[in-house]
Amino acid sequence: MSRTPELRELNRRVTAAIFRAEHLPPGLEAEFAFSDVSRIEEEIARLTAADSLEGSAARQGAITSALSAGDWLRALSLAEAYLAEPAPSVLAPDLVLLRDEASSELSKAEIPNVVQMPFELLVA
Amino acid sequence: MINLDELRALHPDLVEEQVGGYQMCAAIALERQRHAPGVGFAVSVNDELIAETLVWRKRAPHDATMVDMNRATEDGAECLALLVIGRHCSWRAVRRLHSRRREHADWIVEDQSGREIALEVSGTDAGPFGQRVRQKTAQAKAAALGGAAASCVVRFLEPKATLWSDDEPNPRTA
Repeated sequence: MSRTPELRELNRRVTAAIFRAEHLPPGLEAEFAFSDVSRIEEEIARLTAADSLEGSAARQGAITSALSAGDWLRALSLAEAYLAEPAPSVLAPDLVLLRDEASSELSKAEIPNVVQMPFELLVA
Repeated sequence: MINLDELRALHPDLVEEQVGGYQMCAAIALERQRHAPGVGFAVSVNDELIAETLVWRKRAPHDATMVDMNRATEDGAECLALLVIGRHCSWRAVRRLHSRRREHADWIVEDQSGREIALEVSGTDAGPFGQRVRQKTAQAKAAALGGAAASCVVRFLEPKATLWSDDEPNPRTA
C-alpha cells in the first residue's frame, strides 16, 4: 500500500504516542496520553478507508483510546459516527461492542450536581 | 547473526525512544536468563528452522533494576519479533496498535509488496510455548478482519522465536 507522507507521519506519531501511553502508570497523565492517541487515531481514520486494515484499526483505536482515557462521551460519539459509515461487516460487531461499553460507562459516570445560582448583571 | 542494534535500520519508522527501550528490555530479558552475547537463537518461520546467533551490547547491572520484570519480557519480545520479521521476511513495521482492549494484534506490518499484515507478538520467560503459539495465532487471525495475519512468540529461557503467518513470507536466511 502506498501511503501519503501525511499518513506515514501520523503512523509514526501514533506508534510513539501508544508506546508512551502504555508505559505510564494508570492515572491522569496516562489518561492525557491516551487522549492524544485517540486524536491521532481519529486523524488516521479520516484518511483511510473503513474496509482497510489500517482504517479499521484506526477506527477501533480512536474509540479504545478514548475509553482508556476515561472519555466515555467521546468514545460513544466516535463509535456512533463510525457505525454510520458504510463499514465492512467484520468491523461492525466490534464497533457495536465498543459503543455499548462506552454507553454503559457513561451511564455509570457521576453526573455533576449543578445548581442554578441567581445572579444580577450590573453596569459598571 | 542478529544484532539488537539492527532494529533501527530494519524499522526506520520507529521513534528513537522506542527503539532504545526495546533494545534495553531485550538485553535485560536475555541477561536475566544468564545468556551472554553470542547465544544461540532458534528461529522458526512457518516451520522452517533457522539457527541464529543473538548479539547485543551488555548492559550495566543497574539497568535491570530500572525495568519491571514483565515489561522487560513484553518489550524484549517485541524487539526480537521485529528483528525476526525484518531479517527473515523483509517486513517493516507500519504502526503499533493500542492493544489494551479488544484489538487482538500489536502491530500492522507490511511486506515488500506493501501488503498489510496484522501481527500479534507474545513473550514468555519460561512458560509453555506451543500452547501460546496456537493461542496467539488464533488472536492474529481474529484481528486481521479477513486480511493477512501473523503471530510471533518469543521465549527467553532458551532463546527461540516462532513466527507463523497465514501464507508464505518468503523466508530467507541472513
